[in-house]
Amino acid sequence: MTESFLSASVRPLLRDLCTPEALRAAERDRWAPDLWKAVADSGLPWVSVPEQPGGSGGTLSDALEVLALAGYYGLPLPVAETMLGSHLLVAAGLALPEGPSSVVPGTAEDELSVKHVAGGLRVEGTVHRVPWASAVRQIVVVAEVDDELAVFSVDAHEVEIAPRSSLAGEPRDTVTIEATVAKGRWARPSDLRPDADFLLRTLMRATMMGGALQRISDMSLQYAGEREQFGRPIRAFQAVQAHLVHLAEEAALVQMAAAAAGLAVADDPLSVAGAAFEVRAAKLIANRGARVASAAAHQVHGAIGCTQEYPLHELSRRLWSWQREAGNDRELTAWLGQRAHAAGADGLYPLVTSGSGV
Amino acid sequence: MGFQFQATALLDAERALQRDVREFLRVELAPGSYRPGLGISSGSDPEFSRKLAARGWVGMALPKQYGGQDKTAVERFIVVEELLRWGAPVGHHWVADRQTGPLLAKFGTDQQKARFLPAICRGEVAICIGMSEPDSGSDLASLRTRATRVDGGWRVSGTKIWTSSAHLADWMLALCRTSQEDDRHAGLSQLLVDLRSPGITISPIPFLNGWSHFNEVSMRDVFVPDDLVLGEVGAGWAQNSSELIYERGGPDRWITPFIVVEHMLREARVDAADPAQLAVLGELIGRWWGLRQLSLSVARLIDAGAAPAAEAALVKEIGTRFEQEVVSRIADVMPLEPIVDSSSMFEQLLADAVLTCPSFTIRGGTTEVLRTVIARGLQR
Repeated sequence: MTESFLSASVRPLLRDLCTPEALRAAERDRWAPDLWKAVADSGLPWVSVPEQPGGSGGTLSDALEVLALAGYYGLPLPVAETMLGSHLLVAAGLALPEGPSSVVPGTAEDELSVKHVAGGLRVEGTVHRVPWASAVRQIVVVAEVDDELAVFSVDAHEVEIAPRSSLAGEPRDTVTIEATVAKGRWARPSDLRPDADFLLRTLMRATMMGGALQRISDMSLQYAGEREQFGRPIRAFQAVQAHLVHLAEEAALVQMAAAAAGLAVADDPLSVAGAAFEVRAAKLIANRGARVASAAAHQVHGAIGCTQEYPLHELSRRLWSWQREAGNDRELTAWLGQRAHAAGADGLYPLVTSGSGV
Repeated sequence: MGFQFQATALLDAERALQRDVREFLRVELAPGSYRPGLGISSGSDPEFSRKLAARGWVGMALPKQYGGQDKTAVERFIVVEELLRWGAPVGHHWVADRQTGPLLAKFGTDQQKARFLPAICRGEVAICIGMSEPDSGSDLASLRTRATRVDGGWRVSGTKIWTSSAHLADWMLALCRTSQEDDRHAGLSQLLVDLRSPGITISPIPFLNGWSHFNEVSMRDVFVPDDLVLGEVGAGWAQNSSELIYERGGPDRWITPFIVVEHMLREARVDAADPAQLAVLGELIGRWWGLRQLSLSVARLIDAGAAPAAEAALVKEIGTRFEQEVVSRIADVMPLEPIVDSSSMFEQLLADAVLTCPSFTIRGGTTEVLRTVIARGLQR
């Protein structure tokens, strides 16, 4: 596949930034300010956000290209979160703030009360698994207020943060909010579908997983060519080749599914609800790919792949984490199963060919 | 390093074709009016093939000059996936449409094209594949069928095996050794053998469940005239390899048990209150969507003039394993064993699928051989 101009310019930037030392430091310090500065200076966290309110411009497909590379290099920054948060704020007609943003993913364990009060919205409660909450400037929330969707943001320094970490050692913090959100910081976007923020996050994660899978496939292929046992590179053995083939297959399939789901979304990234089937199917495929391919990659690498020193875990741990957020198998298969059941015998194949466009 | 896959969507004209094919099959193959089959083992119906051909949907990617439609690989993909998901009886024209036709168009002489392609496009000619032999399966280049030079042509002796539908076919495209060379991939040639020639014996090999599509074709001093050698003498291996791109990357490698799942819904065998059944259905449908995208992109690559041999092998390796997983997941989530001669079509199809699915990862190149092809592609 020939590489696009965008990828060809982003790839060397991220490759040079994401050294094993930089990734280790980012995990230890829970933030990588130098990395953020380099990536923010290039405008990458705002690709696909319209230029007029302050984004970098470009299309959703540009954004997905950036995220695929972020996944490939294990970039330890809230780039997807900043893109998603910016889109939500723009859709609500709110000002686009400076610096990194996070978005509350909205899990079943959250307890958040949002009410209209004089002077704005009163927000009280605790939300969980907020990516990089302690490092970002603002946290964006989508919540129902009086049966209507509202988008608002709170300043990260105004909330109480308990640091928590994902399987990948990325911050997924617990955030307790007690704040009144003033006029101008919240709005009711008229045409935002309730699942739009979930689906855009899901599409972004699936895309990053495609990148990470390609990386562990490339790493395993290279390692199997260098590592010698029984007097030969281990890739000469068919038993090892089978692992390499499964890795390459899952990487190809997941990237295909994420890209095809991206194609199914119309120009506006938040119209992603129009591709609800494709995005969920892509994430389901990515979750399976993560499971199959991470096992194969570790098997190819042997003991060295299980050490902190060797960088395979930077990708495999991210895959194990991303596999379980923004759409886990349980919720995805339940939704897809209901959708398929509702399609019925005559509608089942049209669902396979046309997805949400049936 | 890496593959050429690229996500693609159907164009408006391609969607229109999809609608046309669906409408044709809705009328032609109404549920209950035919016995659906499992993918490429769905049986032969020359009348159905002729009707399909009359719509221009057999040999559609072949040149107009020879009765085809000059359509793309993607357009053929659209027609073929619909036929297979309906469990349509495609056996009569299948091999000619999928691989022998395109091979003739690519390597055949003008005279061969004029002789075979119009008949293929009318759905009138059935061709079978003469590759495997009793002692040459995955190691195809070790084959021993010999073609010896004689006046005006070749005299062929040897045995081909696992030859699907040979008993119904008019011709067999046989890979034969025409000379002994140091490189064992050299010296092979593809010969079109008239199955009515003297010296041919076709013996059935019943499949494990009693199906009778397998055969052994023995050839004893069968005369094949020079004008029935396809392409170059000695170039058979390369031609055969290009044939495998058509044979491996298409819908027939991932769609086979779809008809089983469709009938599961048609007969209301899914309990909407059972999360385990819904989860299996959801998982399979989601993964089907993704595999189809991968396979569709192979058709686009063919249309772009690429030779995606490793990509096609990858689709078959992952697609046929998925097909087997579909069968076991569906069978495992059902409360009872499927009865072979049940009055329920769903149970009949599921029983057929359980009994025949081991062949999915063997026919057209075993999973193990495909992995070596893919592994070579990885080293590009």
